[in-house]
Amino acid sequence: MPDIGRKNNKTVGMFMKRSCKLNYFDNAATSFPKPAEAGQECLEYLNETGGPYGRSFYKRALDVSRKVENSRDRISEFFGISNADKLVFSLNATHALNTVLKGLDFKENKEVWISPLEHNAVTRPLKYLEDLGKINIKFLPSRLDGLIDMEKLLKTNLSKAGLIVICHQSNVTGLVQPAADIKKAVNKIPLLLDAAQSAGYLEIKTEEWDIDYLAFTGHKGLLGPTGTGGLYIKNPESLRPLLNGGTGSRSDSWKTPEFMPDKMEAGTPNIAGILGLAAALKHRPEPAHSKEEFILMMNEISEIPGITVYKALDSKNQGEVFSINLEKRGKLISPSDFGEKLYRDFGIETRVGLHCAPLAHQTTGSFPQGAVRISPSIYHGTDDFKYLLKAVKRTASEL
Amino acid sequence: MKVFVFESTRAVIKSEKAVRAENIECLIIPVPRSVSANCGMALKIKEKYEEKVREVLKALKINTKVFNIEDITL
Repeated sequence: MPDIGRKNNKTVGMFMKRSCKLNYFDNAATSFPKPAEAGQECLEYLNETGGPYGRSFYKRALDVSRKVENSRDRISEFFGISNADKLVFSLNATHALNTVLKGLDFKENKEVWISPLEHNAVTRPLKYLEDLGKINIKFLPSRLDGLIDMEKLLKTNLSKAGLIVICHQSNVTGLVQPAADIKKAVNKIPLLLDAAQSAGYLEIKTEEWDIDYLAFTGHKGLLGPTGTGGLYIKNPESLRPLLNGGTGSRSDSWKTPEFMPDKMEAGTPNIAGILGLAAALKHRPEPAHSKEEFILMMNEISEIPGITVYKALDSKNQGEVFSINLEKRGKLISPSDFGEKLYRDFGIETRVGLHCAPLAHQTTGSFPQGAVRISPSIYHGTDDFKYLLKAVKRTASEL
Repeated sequence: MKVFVFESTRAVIKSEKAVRAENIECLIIPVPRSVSANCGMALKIKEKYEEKVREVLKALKINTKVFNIEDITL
């Protein structure tokens, strides 16, 4: 267990200077705090070492190129990927998801089947492609909370499916989809796993689960800087690149190289960010709370009069995010008012509204008003949970 | 001397690591102009290590082309 309160802890020491209380419950938007080493690594690159990735032979360039490639190896290992050539860096999960959705040639198999908890990072590019007549969006069978119904899935006619897209962990309810089972059920149909919210919170065994495309961001559960992320591509020949440009390789040709990772990495990458992300992984703390402690806190909040919790129906499918609404005297309190009072009176930082996931809110019944989202950090301990519980209780009684 | 050229930066960095792990001395150099259609960096090694390096790279499935340094117009 990390010891957030322990003195002489370098990471915590730096964190404590920034804030005395860990009232930040908006980690599904972006995580805070981060391991101090992540920022130090970025600063060291920006202020001291510098140099380009992969464009030159002198020591400064080679040192940074080696560091970037070591980072690729470290991140691949974290996700159970044996061939790091197949992992390319991206700006975030949205960039990675767009790379897949716009890089596939759907040909005859135009149906893209999605879960009912998808984020706009998936639904918007799909809607764009549907409007162009390139695909048709279809919904996978699901239960009330959006969990894919495996029995019905096995009976679903997927003969025209070109792709399955699964939001691994909902950014609204925290529901975790059984990615490995879904891939097993759909067999050879390619599966794109959106791990924006799950990466860093859940173990992801990319190759063991036979995932075709894994999209993730670096700045959420992985505790890295913003502007980082990545995409694993099992069969690189299946995708066209989203961007074309300089790679430092085959520079005599106007054609984008076909080999990985260059095929998917045109332009200078976010070197500072990538190095920071790898440092965040290396210095990742142990969670300051257990899954049981998180579930207990969530259940205690659900028992507060007037509170509705949007979550997985079965706690075994629950990830570490959930959303809440408050009803008083038979009327729903606006999530904006609820979230603002939590902040003004207790300093609790949450995200209110639709969380860029209107589809998920439609599925859970919280559309169009949205909800107040609680998304803890790996650094939160039970004292932080107690404070949150007290804040929600008091706010709920006073509104 | 032999010069190994590679497709990508990742390939040259991976190769350097693997070659050094075999205690073979190597040096990353800019790719000579006459073979510049690659990643811009190449690995220079002593001729006596050529076969061993080829084996190491083959095991890692790294594509490479090998040139004699005297055949190259620098």
